[in-house]
Amino acid sequence: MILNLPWIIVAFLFYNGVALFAGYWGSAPDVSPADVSPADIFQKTELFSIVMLSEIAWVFTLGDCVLLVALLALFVEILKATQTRSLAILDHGLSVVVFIICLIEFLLVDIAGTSLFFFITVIALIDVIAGFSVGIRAAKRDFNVGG
Amino acid sequence: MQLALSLPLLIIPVLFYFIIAFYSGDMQSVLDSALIADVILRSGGIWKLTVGDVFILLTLLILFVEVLKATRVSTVSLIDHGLSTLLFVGCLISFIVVKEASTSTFFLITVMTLFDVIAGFSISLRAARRDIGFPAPT
Repeated sequence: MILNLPWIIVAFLFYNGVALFAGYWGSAPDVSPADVSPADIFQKTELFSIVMLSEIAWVFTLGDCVLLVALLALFVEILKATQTRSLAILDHGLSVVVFIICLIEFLLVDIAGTSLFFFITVIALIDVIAGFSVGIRAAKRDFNVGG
Repeated sequence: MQLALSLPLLIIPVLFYFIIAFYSGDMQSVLDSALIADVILRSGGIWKLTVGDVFILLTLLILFVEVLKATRVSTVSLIDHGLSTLLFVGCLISFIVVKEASTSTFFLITVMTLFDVIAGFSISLRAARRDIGFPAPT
């Protein structure tokens, strides 16, 4: 059942949770939380860095982590788009709602005005378009008996 | 011809709205102005038909055509749904960002483009499930 929710919402909530509350634990004591811009939180918080075989340090930031979660969610969404039950239609509808919420937040809310949030919005749009395209393609090849 | 039919027709009222909005300047007063003289109906009531009502009427008629088009399950209709989605995105952004578009009429047009998107793929999915999908005669 839980699989039928649009998973992009995980990345969306992850972003908003971090952007809203990270200023309180991530910043230096003399900096007021309101002064920390969300773009800085995502770009400058290093989760880990690994020295690669080429001796270049690969820095994995919090923003990369959010994008990774969004991409994984997109994969699950496309996987789900191949099923053609009636619940799938509801799933596509919810994907549209998530995309609308993302777009409105990107345009109106100050913490969402970053490239990272724009990518989440684009991934939600791809989820909508890919969702029904794959669904219709799959349904055409589906021979439903008593569906 | 088939390609022309696959374009989302709802772009017509949107373009029409913006052309009038940018030439008139004050869109809200244009939308509120009466298109025809008041009609006194048989019951004695007075029917006022404003320009905004005509916009909504036009959009509803086109929405009907869009729903009719949604029953096709060809590859062209996939492009149709994709373009409908882009049209809805454009409408939503204009409603929020553009000053001329901040009217109830434009909001209703935006909601109808959203209906076009959701109804479009729901109906196509339903229709495609009942379709055995022999190759179309060319």
